[in-house]
Amino acid sequence: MTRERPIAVAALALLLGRAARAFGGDVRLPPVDVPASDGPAQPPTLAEDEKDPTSFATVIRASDYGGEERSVAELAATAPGATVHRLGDLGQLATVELRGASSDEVLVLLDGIPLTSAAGGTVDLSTIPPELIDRIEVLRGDAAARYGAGALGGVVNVITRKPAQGSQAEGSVGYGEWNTVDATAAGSLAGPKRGGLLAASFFRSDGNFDYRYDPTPQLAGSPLASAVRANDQSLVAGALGSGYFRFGSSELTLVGQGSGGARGLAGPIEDPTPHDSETFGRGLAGAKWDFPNVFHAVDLELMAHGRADDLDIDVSGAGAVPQLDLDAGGSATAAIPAGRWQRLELSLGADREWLQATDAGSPARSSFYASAADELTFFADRLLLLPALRFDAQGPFDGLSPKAGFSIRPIGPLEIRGNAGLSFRAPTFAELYLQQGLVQPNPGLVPERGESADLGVAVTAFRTLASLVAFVSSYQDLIVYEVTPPYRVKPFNVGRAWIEGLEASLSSRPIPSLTLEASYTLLVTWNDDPASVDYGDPLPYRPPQHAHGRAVWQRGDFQATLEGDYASAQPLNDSGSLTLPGHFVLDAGASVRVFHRPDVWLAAEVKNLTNDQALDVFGYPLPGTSFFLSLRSSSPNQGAVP
Amino acid sequence: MNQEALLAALCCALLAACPPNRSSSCTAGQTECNGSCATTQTDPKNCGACGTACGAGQSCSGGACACPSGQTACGALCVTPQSDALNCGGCGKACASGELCDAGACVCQGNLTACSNRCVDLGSDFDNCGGCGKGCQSGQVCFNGGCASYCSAADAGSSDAGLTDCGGSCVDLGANPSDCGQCGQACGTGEICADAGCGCPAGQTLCDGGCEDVSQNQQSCGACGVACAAWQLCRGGHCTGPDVLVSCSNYNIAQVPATAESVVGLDSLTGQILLPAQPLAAPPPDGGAPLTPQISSLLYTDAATLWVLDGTNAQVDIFDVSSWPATVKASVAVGNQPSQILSCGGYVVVVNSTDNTIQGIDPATMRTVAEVNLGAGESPYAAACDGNHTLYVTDPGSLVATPPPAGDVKSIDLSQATWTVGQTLAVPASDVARVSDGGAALADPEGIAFVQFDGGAELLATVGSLDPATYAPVGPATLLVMDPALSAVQATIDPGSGCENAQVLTVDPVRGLVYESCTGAYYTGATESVLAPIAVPSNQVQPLVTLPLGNPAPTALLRNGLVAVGDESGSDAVALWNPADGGIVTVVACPAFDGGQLANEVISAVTAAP
Repeated sequence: MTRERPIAVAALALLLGRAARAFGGDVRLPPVDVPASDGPAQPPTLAEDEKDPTSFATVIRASDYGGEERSVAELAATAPGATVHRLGDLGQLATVELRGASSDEVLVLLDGIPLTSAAGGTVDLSTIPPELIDRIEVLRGDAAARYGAGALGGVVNVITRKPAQGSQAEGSVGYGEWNTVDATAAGSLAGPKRGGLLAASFFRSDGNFDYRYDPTPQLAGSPLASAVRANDQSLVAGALGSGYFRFGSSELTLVGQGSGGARGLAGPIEDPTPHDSETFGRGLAGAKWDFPNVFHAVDLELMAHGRADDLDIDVSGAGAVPQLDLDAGGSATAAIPAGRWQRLELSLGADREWLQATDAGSPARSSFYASAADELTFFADRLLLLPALRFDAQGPFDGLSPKAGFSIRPIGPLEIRGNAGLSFRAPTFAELYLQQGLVQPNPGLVPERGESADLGVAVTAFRTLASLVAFVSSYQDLIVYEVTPPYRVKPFNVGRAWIEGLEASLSSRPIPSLTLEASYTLLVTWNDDPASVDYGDPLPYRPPQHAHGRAVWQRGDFQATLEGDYASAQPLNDSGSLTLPGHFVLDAGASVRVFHRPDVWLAAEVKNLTNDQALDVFGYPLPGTSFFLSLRSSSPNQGAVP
Repeated sequence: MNQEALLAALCCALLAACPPNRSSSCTAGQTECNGSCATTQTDPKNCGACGTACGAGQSCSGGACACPSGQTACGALCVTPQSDALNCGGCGKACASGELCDAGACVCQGNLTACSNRCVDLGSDFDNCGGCGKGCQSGQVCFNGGCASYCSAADAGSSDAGLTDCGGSCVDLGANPSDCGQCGQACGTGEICADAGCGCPAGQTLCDGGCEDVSQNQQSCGACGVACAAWQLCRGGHCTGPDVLVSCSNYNIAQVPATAESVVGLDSLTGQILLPAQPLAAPPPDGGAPLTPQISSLLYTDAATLWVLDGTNAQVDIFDVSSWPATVKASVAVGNQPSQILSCGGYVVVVNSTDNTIQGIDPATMRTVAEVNLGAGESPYAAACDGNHTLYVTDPGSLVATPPPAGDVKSIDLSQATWTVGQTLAVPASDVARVSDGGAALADPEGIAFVQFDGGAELLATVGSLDPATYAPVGPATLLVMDPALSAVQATIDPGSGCENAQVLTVDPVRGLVYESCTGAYYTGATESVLAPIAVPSNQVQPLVTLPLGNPAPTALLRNGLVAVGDESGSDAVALWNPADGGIVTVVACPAFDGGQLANEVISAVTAAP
């Protein structure tokens, strides 16, 4: 009997989870198509990403969820092909996976500025205040040729609020279960020459929900026990300022965002950590200067950004272990028309990132990229071809990410898109340098590599958009933490995976007052390493089936929503011997306009109507039924401001 | 076809790609043979291919039938060419009458001499009288090595007592294998002539193949024609299987082929590997393809039933080992990270480390019938039974708290259908966690043993003295001595600085000793460590036993009094120590597997056959 190993391995797993979290990451671990909704009166259209128009994208507008308690992660999870993993509920760590690719294989951007860092790879979406965002654009599938190395599974671009023309003020307050309080205030002033927006948000929750668990899970018929989630409190506050200045034909756009918060780290049910906590903060600034038609109809775009992320983890009140990640970079992009049917886009960029962390030293990495994309349109824009190539050099790692995409509208409402590409992901600082207890670094890592392709069809008719996309990806040299002597965990390039699936979505506005949206993802994954005992087994933490549906009824001063989310059972280990049961969560809400000019809406929401007592993939409990109330107001637009 | 299968089929059709074919539901390394999964590399009934059965006594290794060490396959039989008179030095090479097979060659029996490929008595053979080729003349006989007129040294016409003229040779019909009882009556291969009758030498039995020593003959063990299986040895006329099983494991089973995880059976007296690597894959409790286990603990509940604790797949697999390859009887789901399995109070008890539970399985029905939760933040580690209905568990506490909490030892009452936690005794970390080089030490209670002696009983538990950050040993593996009521720590035992990081205690009731297996620091390149014998109830440390193992850990007391210790340093070695004479035999038991930087091998469990 090896008595130390099970304990050590369990400790390692938990420690690894904590270590990964310390770097904004999770352990390695995709979404369906919810088409863009441009307001209840507009018919649905197939979303088109500005940089990658042949790809399959989903736009989730925060305004569609006004009065509902939704985190950025919950909003992202409504997209087809997306899966969100959480360590609890509101305010707790949440990461997003796309098309079966791990969260560290998904690029997360805030207004186009990368939040995905060289430090940890994975972005904790709970650190982004949802009250400050306008929409989330979810680009599914390999997007490395247009967005850069690391986007093996896709891109999640969180777009913050922008100044609306005229002057406007908004505010909201909400209160609900577990002393959950949120408040937002925003004001904007905008005219033809300049405009700006200021917004602030606040969120807190005790998170001390009741949950039920089975203390003797191997004994059939044993009674469930009740417990209260302790040390699950969270607080997030944020501020946003953005503006634009037009000088002649050029436009300078500035954005600054700051957020911070604190939360308790409750730990798993079996081994709670009542004294663990963390604080986090982020400052981000970006500038974009557009120069249209600077030379022979060439458009020029200059961008610069800076970002600072701080994360301090305090384990058992022993004192915070700080970690500071700094990033600054810039890019220049030229869009060059070449004839009536061709538009060439060339882009260069550079970036440098510094990490200061006790356990990983002070690594820094410079990055450089050069990319070219050619948009070729034929037959009155009915056929679009998009070949693209990008070169990324990230520290000692470099590689090419080519892509070929097409979009064709052969007849009327039918559109067909397809893409194929190659990509890679460079190892993170955490994987290369993190030395934390039993977690070991591996400086000998090489980049992960991926090959992907997708093909889909969309039809728009009768105020309804329906789409079906098939995708397939193959990944090699995946970085996987494995146990290594003497009882340590260490990352190795040993994973090989094959992922294929289907994304189906339906968006319909059959009558002006009713919006129906539904998505479904079928994910077939398997370990593709013939040398492994688990060859052919499904990859863990990926539900084979995920479905999401939402109905919104809005008429006059009343709105009602009903939303359901289903995930099938999923394996929790490599052999598939352990599974997380499937779960279905149903939310319902209603809003009433209680005052006009300014409009004041009173909203009530019940989340998890069926009181589904689920666990997340890491065994953390999720709350049952909960209630929320909110009041939101917006002043009438005062018209254009000079 | 169910809904998921339909969807999967649709997906496959659209994508023109499906999961790799894994030979129906069989696991990697297995082949479907007549509806069941067979490991054609090791299954003697399907060796190399379905339906290719090995002969009696043969095993299957690497997809080819093979005989035990020292034997050769002759047709479907395994023979010993060194001593088999019918296959002497090779298949079909039979010895002639009067010959024995010795060291693979036919040699003449007793006082016979080989002349012209025949064994003759130079004292009486007519054609070889006194020497090979020295024939006597017609009318003469050969008497006492010389040609004579009569078979007598006295008078013509008379004969020496017992000597008879058989065609000119003066032979003793009572002892001559060529003329036994009467002239021209030759004995069979391997037989001797005694008292005018053909028969076998003392201690041998006449079997179809000649005279055999049925006390140790693999083909005729105990009686003619009773063949031992390839994994058995004929000892004292009984076919005996391996008396010690070791599990060959790897750090990362996800990165190795199924054949790299196995159980090996040894004969402790000879160090012979009787049972080459057995994969022991079993399906999940709710059915499906067999899973490769990562074995953390082994338990025999009787000679024919082996329980295999599979930590990775969180299940315990029960095998019928009355013959090998073993067959699966059932699988039972257990908790996450199970660390030990043992018998206590009529149950098979599983220690579920991260689930914080102790689980009881009815060995008859193979169903979970009891379970007790020790509470959140606990972490049961190892257990010992008092031989009745009380279980003692070491519990180092939270696995994630920093600094790690003080651990404790708990008693659990198994006498009722609902198990209850009884007394808890906190481990006084500051008193026992010894630090050799300064700094804080982690006082994890680890191994535990219940020892009974004349007039009483006591509990012993090891305390790790580990670095809280790295789990590296920083001090000696102190032992706590506790009373069965867990009222107090009565004494501490310092095994000396040579004994660090002890995880396993093994009780030797005959010698009144407890063996503390001192694992030491991992992967330091050390090639030896120690076993600390502790006398009970005096609690005196006996001279340490140096073992040629870098990280000795799993230990078992064998039925013959030997102690088997497995190495976790990757040497694949098991040391067989004889406490009676101090002799140590080291056996490289596990097949070497080149798994690169990941598949580091360990012997994760050692258990004695009942």
